[in-house]
Amino acid sequence: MVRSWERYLLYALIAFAVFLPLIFPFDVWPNLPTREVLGVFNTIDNLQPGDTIVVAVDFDPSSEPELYPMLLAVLRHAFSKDIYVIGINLFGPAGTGLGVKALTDVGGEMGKTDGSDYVMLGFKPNLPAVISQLNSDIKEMYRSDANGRPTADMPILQRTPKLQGNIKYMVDLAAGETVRPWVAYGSAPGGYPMGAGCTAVSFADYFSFYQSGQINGLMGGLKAAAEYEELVGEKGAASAGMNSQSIVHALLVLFIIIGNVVFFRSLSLKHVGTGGGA
Amino acid sequence: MTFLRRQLPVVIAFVLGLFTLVIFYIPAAPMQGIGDRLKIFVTIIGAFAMLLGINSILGQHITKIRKKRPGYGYSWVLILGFIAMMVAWIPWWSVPPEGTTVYYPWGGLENNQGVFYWMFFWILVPMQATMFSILAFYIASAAYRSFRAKTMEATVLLIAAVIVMLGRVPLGTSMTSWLPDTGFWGSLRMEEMTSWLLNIPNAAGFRGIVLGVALGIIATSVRIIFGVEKTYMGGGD
Amino acid sequence: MALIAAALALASPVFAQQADEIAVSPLDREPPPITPSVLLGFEPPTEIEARDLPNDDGTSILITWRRSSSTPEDVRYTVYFSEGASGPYKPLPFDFRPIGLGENIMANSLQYFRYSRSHRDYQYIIIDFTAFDTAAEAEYKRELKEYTKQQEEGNSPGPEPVLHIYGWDQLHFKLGVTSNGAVRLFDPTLHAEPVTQWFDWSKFNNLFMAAAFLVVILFFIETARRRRFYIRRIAGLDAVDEAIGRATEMGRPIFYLCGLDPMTTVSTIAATNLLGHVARHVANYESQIKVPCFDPIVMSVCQETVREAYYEAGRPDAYNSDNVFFITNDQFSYVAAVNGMMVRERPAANFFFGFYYAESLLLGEVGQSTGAIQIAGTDSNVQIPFFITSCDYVLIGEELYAASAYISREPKLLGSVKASDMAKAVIIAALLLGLIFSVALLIAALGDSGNALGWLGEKMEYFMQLFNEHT
Repeated sequence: MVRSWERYLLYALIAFAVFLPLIFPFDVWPNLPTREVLGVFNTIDNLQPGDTIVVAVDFDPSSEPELYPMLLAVLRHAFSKDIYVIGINLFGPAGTGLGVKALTDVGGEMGKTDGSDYVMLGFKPNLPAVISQLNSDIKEMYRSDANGRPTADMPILQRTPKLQGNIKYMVDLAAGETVRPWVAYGSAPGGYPMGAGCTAVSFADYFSFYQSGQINGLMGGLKAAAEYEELVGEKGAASAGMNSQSIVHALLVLFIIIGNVVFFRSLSLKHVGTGGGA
Repeated sequence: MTFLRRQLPVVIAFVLGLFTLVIFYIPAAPMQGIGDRLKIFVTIIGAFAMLLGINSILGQHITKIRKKRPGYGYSWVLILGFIAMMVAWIPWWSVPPEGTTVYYPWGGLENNQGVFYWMFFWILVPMQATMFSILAFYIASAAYRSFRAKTMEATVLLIAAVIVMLGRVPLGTSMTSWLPDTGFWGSLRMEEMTSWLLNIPNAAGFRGIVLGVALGIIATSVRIIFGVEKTYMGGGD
Repeated sequence: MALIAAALALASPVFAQQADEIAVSPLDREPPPITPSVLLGFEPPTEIEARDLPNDDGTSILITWRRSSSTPEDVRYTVYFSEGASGPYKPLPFDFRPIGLGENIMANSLQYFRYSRSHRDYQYIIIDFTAFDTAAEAEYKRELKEYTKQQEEGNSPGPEPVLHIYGWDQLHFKLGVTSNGAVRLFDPTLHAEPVTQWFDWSKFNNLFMAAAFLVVILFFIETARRRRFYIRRIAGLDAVDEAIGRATEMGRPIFYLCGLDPMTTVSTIAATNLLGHVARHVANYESQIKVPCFDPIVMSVCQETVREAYYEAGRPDAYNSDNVFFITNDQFSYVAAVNGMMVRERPAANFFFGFYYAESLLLGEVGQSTGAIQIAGTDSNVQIPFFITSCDYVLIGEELYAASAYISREPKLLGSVKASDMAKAVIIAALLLGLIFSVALLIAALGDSGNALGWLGEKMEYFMQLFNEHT
């Protein structure tokens, strides 16, 4: 049983462990990249300026803490290499705003223009049909982008009228079950390689796609986002988050050790007490 | 009347259950079309059932307000919040012509300048995020309370938990980054041990549970289709 | 020489296509110019056949061939079609990605082909005839739009567009190879008509296993009347009575949650089944049970279940319909409401049965902090550890499904639990056999990598393909 004061002390320590590294960021422990994250990074790194990629913002605000830093890192990487980005959202209407914000912020920071260097297409339901249609004609599916601007004359879509044969890579940042349809209806028939990003709990689920080669890279959770930021060379929210996470995990290990010490001490005191009384 | 309450639901469950099972093996388009329609029925029934749910919750809170039970102020908060979200959602707008952007204050999540969108993103979503964040604190108290090395199994669990917790953060991986990448010593790196624990014993345990669950689902479904189990209808056999 | 003559004799064997109809491999740069002689020198595929696609809804055909042994880069297989056997043969009217020399191997697709080692040398293409109709409609719409636009602008619009209808029985095909805009087609002319199948033979294994399992279940349900089946002790279910007794003594309510999934999932059905038994005990003990629900249909079912339980216990007057209520079907809003109720009303016992998501630890910890005895049962693998740390008893996976049988000891229910145990024994035996065969195959392959254990090796590869296919 945990006494009230123990409980409040634990909560206070966790709160400080989360807040302080965010307020006072530091850079001590390197986020060593894993093979799965390197799959996505190397593919984008090997593209040439002028290539186009698709980034699917298939998440909503509840998965924002893990997937939004991933999105920012991927966009920074792509824009730094003068790669054009088509953003799309097939998960739910709530995610479109996040895509617009990310593209506007990172695009503005790197001098990119909406409509010619990037575009955010909004949400459309019925994934398999939308993806199949996108493989053959984007403008037919999306007459206007997420901000309501007509797509008919957009330079980026003149350059890339359809996905099949025109895009070099596709990254699906998925909070739900969108990776499977993208592989089945998009990447496989369309002939372009695909990578994915997901929340940490879904990593085990999507790992089988990575093992079978249907996706060539998989970024799972905030750690993967931090690894990507480390590779891109610009640390952001994910790296700061990993600092907090490191300290919290270390604290949890400490709590476990202290809990066991307290437990064994109380056992030995009980034993001594019983032994003394007998 | 007894037939309607007792036998008819069992007959419906039997016929539709067997039918849905059979059309899994029939690729012909007419059968698949019927199967898809049945699935749509489920969605429609669920939508109408929401009315029952709303009746339940509003009825409860209105009664609480009427009888001025303790905490009835919060019932006012619930009812006012309910009305506000519903009114803000009602689509008193039409989709603007293509290529134009017009501001309407009402409408659902598609209208990213509307009141509903604002309330969803600035009230509901932060509250959901807050509830989710409380998990971090509860994990700490759960770790403190339950990871006790009382038995050999509990000790193994404790050690595995510590390794995985450290292996998933840069602090942990940098503790063993001085070890070589390959060979026996390489396999003692924190991330390698974590990966082994997650992909071998953890995956094996999960698969065992999943196999058992799948068989249990089949057995329970057969019991329901054949009318052996009827408690879900409300009441005994 | 004959091949070269045949190739030159074709109507227009070598011509450039629209650049954007060739799907280049994703990371290709500008290829060096390849002359058509590489296509002319290409060893043609053999055994080119077309037939109806098996196990489908009658809209596709299959083209198969034995691939050539030479593998030049940048050469892919493609298909041309004609609305008559004599030609002219044109590219397909819809987007078709040419097949690479290592793709679409028959040995990797168990849905349409039996596994055989020789199938590693064969490839296939599926042609969906509905794509022709879709392409025709899209073309018609495009032409109509252009026609209307010209009319509106006052220009002479030309002839009114007409929807082209492809006769499925008239379509003929030719297999060809393509590289950088050049195409070479091969004889023979292929023709097949799609046929609807009324049984999917690729799922026969599945049907056989399902039927066998069904027979076993029905057998055990029948024999359960005559025999007593042993079921091992499940501590969590034994503790249900203890929990209800404790709540009665303390005069505090019992909270029962049916999970966050709708009524269509089996775990929710199992939870509502168990609710019936728990509610009957609660009615007998004259205690109070509260059931906050996540789904309105689940709420209706739970209301009926609890009401019937009180009636059966002879306490209809004690039933209060306000105790089984709907809160919301938003995950964290539901949890916030339930946690608030737990902190205010301080239940003596909490039951968490059904399917849970991230909120499992929230529910468990808050209940723990109020001092309630907690029993959980879920088939959600990921949440089981959280329940184990915060609850006193946990039913893992199928123990939840067996709960109804365990508590009621009804012979028919026990029989079905026994049957699923039998099925599990069969699966374990199959796993062990597979393990033995895999090890044997591995050992044999050390000696001769080509044909390890011959027939057995082929069967093992078939099983490996099955599992790769369906993960």
